[in-house]
Amino acid sequence: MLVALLIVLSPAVQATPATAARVAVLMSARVEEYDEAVRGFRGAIPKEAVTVYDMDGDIERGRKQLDEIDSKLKPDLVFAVGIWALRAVVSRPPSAPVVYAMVLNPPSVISPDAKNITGASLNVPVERQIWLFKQLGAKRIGVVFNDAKTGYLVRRAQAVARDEGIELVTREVSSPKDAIGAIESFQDRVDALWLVPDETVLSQAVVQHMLLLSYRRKLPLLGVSSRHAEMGALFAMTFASGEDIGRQAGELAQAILGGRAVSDIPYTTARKVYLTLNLKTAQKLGLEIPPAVRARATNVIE
Amino acid sequence: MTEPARLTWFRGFSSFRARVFWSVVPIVVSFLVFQGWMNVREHRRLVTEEFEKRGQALASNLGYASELGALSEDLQLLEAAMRGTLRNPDVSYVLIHSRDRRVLARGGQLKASEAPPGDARGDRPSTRQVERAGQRFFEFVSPIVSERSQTPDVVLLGPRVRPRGAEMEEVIGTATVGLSLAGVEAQVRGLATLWSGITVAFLVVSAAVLYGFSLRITNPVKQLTQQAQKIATGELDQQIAVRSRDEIGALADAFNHMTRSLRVSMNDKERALSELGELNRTLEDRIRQRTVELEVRGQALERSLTELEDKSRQLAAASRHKSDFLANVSHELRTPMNAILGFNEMILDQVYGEISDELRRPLTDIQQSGQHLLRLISDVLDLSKIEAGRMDLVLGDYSVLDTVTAVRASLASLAAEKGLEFVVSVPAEMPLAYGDGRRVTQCLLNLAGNALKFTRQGRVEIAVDLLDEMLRFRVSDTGIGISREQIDKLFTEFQQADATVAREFGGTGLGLSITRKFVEMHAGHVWAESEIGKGSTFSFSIPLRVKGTMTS
Repeated sequence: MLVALLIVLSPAVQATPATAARVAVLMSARVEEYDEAVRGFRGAIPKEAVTVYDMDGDIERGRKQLDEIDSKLKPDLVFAVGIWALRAVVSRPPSAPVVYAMVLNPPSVISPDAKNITGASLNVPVERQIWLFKQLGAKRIGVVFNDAKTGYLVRRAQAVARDEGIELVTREVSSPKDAIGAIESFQDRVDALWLVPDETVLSQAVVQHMLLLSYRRKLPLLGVSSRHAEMGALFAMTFASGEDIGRQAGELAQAILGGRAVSDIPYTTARKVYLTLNLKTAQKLGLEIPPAVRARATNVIE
Repeated sequence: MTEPARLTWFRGFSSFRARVFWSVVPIVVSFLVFQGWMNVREHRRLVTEEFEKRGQALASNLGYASELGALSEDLQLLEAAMRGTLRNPDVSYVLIHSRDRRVLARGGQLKASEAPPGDARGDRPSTRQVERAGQRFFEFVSPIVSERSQTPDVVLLGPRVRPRGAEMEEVIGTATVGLSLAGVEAQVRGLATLWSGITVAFLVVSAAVLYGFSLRITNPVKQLTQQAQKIATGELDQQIAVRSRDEIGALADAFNHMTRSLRVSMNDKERALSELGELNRTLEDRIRQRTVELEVRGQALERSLTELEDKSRQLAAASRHKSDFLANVSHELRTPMNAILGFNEMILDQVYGEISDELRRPLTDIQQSGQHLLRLISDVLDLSKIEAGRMDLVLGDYSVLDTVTAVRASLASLAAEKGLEFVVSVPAEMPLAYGDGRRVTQCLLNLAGNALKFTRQGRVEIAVDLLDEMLRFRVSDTGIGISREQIDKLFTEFQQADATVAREFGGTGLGLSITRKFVEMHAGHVWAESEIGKGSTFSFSIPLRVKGTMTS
């Protein structure tokens, strides 16, 4: 049975239902960050009537919910929250335009020819990450990635890095088993390590190996999650909050509802970022953290 | 086995020492063996358990450490992971298998081993015992678990954004650790040897202690036995020197005490025997002497008895003569006395003419004194007759009521004169009595007269009753009473209770004596009960019907 949760967030909307646009929210699961994103989204489009659907992590269920949305709700916009909602929307595109949020690496999910979809990704802008390495004086950054997942990201980073005079030493792998060997192959060839949000390299063993290499070779490592910084990566850059991402998505939705063509609106990366800095690791690696980096850090582990 | 040899053997086995030894040693031995067996078993169990735990921990650790090596199938990484495990002296071999059971790495002394790995189920290492190259091993197989690659979403947002049904972990191989049992078995063997040694040593020590202990018991007992044998042959001056304070010491003390007592009593017996012999020798002489003395005394006694009989005969004769004389004199005195009183009464009755009042008084005095004298003479005559054996009862039927009434009539004036109550009580239906009515009347007169005489106020009562064909006459008064000692003398001649009494109340002192004689002639008896100041009761009882002719 499909459960539809109708949340009427504003009394004003209730008073003028005929003039307001209808928005269907498809949530991957009831996760705190996703709820925050919905809240941020609602903050950006306060006048619209919003109906929330919870997939509970089940893509099949999401597809059925999309059927219901199309046949009954007939919304002006579908807001997909989280990777599973995005996958559902991609595999069964609704008739209304789609705005997504809280998704990493959307290009790895969405085919380049999909027109009616845009959104706010969780990815941190590569410029900021390259900037961090530049502050530390890194010249050759080792990256292990799977082209299918993060190839687009690495290519962008390479372009950005090149402008900054930094070389990305890349190793393309297709399984975690290859990742270990790839990491081993860096040895003296790099002076910094970059962990990209790629599931091929995010297994515990690979991350540990990356950390080991970081310690043994005294190479600063930039992690994907603040947990990586807690485990011993020098720093980790993440999105600041779900609400921010939601708000970014809300702004996109507003533009679409305002009449702009979806294909004209590119997906966004996190506007606000959160930098975790591990000073214990810095000490072990014998690194002097430049004041500019320290000033940017929102969380410092000492 | 020859007969004497068997006997010696049997005695050896049944001696006290042997019994103590054979009752304790089997217990000690069985205890030690049991304890040793338990100990070795428990130790083996503990060591094996510890061994297994250690093996499981080793395999488990190796499983963790090999994750990276198994993932990358990198020999260097795997050898690095195995190095720590192989440092353990009990570890004989180590094998790392891939998920598809290929050998990824091996280490340890038993490198040639190619046995397939054991199954690793769940997250705990499995344990089995295997035999490889003729040696027994404990083999522990732990799964090598690797966390599945996480989606970047999960890394960023936590496990709740993981899709349903996705496993977190996967088994990518197995780590096998083989521990040699040689160490454990050597340890258990060592322990068993140690326990055997302890058992033998303990047995030797306890046997020695038991031997010493039994010596401490049996030596004094032996001494006691020897001593007892000596005492049996009569050597009573033996003492046992036992210094211990235990039961044996107490027994020796008791034995010494017994010997001393025996010695003392033997001495006493000997002395008594010699005294007895001495006495035996002197006894005959003394008996002979005593017999002579007794014979002399007997003859003297016989002589005295003869003399006494003579004297008695003479005395009886004299008394009879006196009584005869008194009877005769009384009779002779009564005749003229009666004449005097007769004439005097006739004078008083003025047969011989008128008499003046001055004369009447002396004449009355004469009449009274004469009557008293006559009564006295009569009493003396009666007594004399009785003592001389010449008083006979005149037997016949008589009425008790009449008797008592007559007595009351004759004494009524005296009672009235003294203001005393005088009553008689005779039961109705009283049958006729057989006896000397005159004498019974005289007895009653005597008793009632005495009662009236010695009573100053109150009452005098004559009562009669019949009990078991015996008549009992009772005269009670409220008079002066008689003391206990005086009662005993009352019925003898010329006795009055008190000399002063005679002066106050008069009387001859013959009445009671005569009464007793008459009562006894009726085969009865007389008695008195009294309390000073409260009164006396004199009673006599006689058969209702007297048998035959009674004489005094």
